[in-house]
Amino acid sequence: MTPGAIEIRDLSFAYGKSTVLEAVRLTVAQGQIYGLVGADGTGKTTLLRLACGQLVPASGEVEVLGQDPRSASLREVIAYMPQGFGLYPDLTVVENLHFFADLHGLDRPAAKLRVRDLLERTGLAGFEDRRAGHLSGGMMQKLALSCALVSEPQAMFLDEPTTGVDPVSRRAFWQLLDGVRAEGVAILYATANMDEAERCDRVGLLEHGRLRRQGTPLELSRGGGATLVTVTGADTRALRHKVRDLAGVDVVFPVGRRLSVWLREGHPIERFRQDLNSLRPAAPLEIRTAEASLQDAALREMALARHEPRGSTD
Amino acid sequence: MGQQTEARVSAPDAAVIRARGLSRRFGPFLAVEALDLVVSRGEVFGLLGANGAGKTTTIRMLCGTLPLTAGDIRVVGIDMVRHARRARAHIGYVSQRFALYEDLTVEENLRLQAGLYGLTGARRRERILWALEQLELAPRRRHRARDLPLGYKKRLALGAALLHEPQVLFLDEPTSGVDPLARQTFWEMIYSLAEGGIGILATTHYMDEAAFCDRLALMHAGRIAAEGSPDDLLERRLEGAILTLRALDCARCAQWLGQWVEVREVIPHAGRLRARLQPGVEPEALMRRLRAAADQKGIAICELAVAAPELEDVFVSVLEEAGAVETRP
Repeated sequence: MTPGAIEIRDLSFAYGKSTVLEAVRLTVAQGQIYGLVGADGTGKTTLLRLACGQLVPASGEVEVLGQDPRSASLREVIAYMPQGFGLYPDLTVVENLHFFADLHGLDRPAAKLRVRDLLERTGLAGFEDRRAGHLSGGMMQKLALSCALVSEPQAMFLDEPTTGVDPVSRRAFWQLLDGVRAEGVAILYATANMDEAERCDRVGLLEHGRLRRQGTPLELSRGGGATLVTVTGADTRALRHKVRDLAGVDVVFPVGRRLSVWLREGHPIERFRQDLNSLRPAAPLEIRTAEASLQDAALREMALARHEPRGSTD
Repeated sequence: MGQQTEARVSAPDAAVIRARGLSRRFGPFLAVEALDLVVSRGEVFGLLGANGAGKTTTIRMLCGTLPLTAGDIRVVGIDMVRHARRARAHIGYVSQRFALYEDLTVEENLRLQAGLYGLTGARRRERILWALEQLELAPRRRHRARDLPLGYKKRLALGAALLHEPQVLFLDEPTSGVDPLARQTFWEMIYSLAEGGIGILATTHYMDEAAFCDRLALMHAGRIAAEGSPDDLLERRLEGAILTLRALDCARCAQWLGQWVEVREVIPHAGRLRARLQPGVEPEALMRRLRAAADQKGIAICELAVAAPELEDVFVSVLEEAGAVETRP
């Protein structure tokens, strides 16, 4: 197997006595987005900072494009977009872009071409003279990404770039990112959102500084051989405690007015249907098998791991 | 809209919040415009919108911390404008950021909050015990707040906001940044509270939080652009149909699909692709053409069908219709 554009081997890191990361191993190939998924405080930011050379690992190795991420020759070809990436609010869109071009030492004609291209691609063309501070949240994120792209990086490290952005802008941001991926850039993308992880090529689930699982979103959303069913109808939520006690039921989680139920492998759905109806629901229930999302699968695993279907957790 | 009418005619005793014609102006800028909103007992109501849509301004008015430019708010029937203190006594508020004391233990934080709410003696002890039990904090009562995992911190903040037995609870992005199980646990606690008769108003811009609500209102530019239960909203007719598709080489297929003018966007989703079509494109005809073209190109499509929209699809399309998408200055 050819080495990835971003290679992390047995990486560990601690702040003082508290271990932040433990034996993390991952590979991001060119043209791949690797989604690093975890709750706040699980070590995502630390991992990104180690990967782009801002921190030095306690043990283990990081290689970006075949080199130590701290080597000077990488400066031009990697881009790191930290959380709440700092644009200059008083500079206009185009001034911000040229500022980053200068920072990376692009000569004027090259910078002009690159900036024009980015403005077109991001839909920021037409907004050149607007001050960054006056852009909407979504536009701001696009500008931030554009600034990170000015130097034509081959590896990118993005830390929760869509936090605080509405769904429309988030989709636009991802379209942009899909284009960047198609050009062969390797992207390590940290997020706390499972639905964003679904858009990545590979996903690693980070928990307490360890990569609990990694794989493609499809691999990770298979719940072993278990079946996911959703139950809808009036007042299904009130049934949640009783459904938990039915035969063959592993995990039950109410979401709004529907119940999602993980049935144990091999448990016939017909049997579940009968058991459910024997609870004498106030109104007829609709039971459907559902395609599990990453979120559904993660929830099942975490709930089973704690041997406590009702969940007491952090 | 049917849902709105239903909300308006619900019996007055069922409403814990009733706001009519709520408006707020900042100089020339109308942040919230003639907003009507009802939250009933036992209901989990979600207020959604991008930053700047007017959510925070609305919440601040509902909490009685920001004067209204126009309109009327009643909290359990009490006029918020005239009797702000009395009305506020029925509200619990959990902010997005942890607002308790990191150096105090769980129990100390609760005692301090109880004191601030003016609870004393037996009632104070009773309420603190209730919070420890109800939010499953008892095993960690002697832990300092700073040492708690995020999910527990959120529950502690929730417990503190409930000590004075409010009838209304405001939650601001209550579970952003926590893991899926912690999120689930938190919302189930919210459901138990709702079953106990409290009305809940949550604000968020995360679709996976919105899904937990019984009823949703999507704000845009100071107004409600769409309202209803998640199921009602999912039944709205979208301007563009959505296809779902699985291919052997998803990445290649996504690129190919993105080149079709009929396709508005391609969204990878758990190993499949979702393609949102341009308004007016007839999905059946397009699927036939896609299949034929894929055969020629050697792209192996395993599955191709019309898909049901998801909540996010609905919101994106509502916002697009409302002109929320800036493409020109």
